[in-house]
Amino acid sequence: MTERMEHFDEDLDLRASAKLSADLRAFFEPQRPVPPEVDRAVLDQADRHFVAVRSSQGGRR
Amino acid sequence: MESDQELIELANQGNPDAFETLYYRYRDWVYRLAWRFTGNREDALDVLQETFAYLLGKFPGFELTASMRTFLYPAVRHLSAAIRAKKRQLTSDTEILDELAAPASAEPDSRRSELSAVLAVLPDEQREVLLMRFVNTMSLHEIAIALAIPVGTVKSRLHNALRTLQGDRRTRDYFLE
Repeated sequence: MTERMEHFDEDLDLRASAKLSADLRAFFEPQRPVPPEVDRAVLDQADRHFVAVRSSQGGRR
Repeated sequence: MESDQELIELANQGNPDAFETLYYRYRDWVYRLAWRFTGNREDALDVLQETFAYLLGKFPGFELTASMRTFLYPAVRHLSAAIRAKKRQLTSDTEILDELAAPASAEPDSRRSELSAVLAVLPDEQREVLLMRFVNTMSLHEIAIALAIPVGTVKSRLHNALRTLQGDRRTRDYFLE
């Protein structure tokens, strides 16, 4: 299929209803939130990383 | 509220609080995207952690050339593909849609099932752009940068996808007259 565009109908984008967006989002909506332990794992790793960065920068923050 | 650029500058100076703010600003966006690519929670959470580990590794010295979302999108996509390959899960948007469209309750949402059926026949590149626009709420410019394609190509793909949806009797009601 050619990707050449005769014209981009921006109105078509705008005419797509909020319901379309909502239904599409519903297809890919995670059914449960990110658990706190994942947050902790990411942020603990970040803390360790930045401690090392500050050490290598001579203790500057 | 600090901008992404300001937070990145602080993180480049070794400030973990700046990184934490970035994490919470983009965590759910990354998680939703990873879930779209992997189709399951466990893998999406792995991708989430790996994505932010990848971002973390950029500090110090990280320079944001476009937006955080255009930086994160290819990373999430790549990491999701890597996890799928490792687990030999051939999950795609189409397969996820097939699974999700299956009625999970006694009251099946036929409209959503029909939407998934129409989405499934879209060419991959059109569906990708459509989902980036409507699910991941990315601008045309952001999509172009994230996919490394011209904005005109993004417009073309989106236009063709929307035309297909509008032209199909099963999904034309999604469009305002």
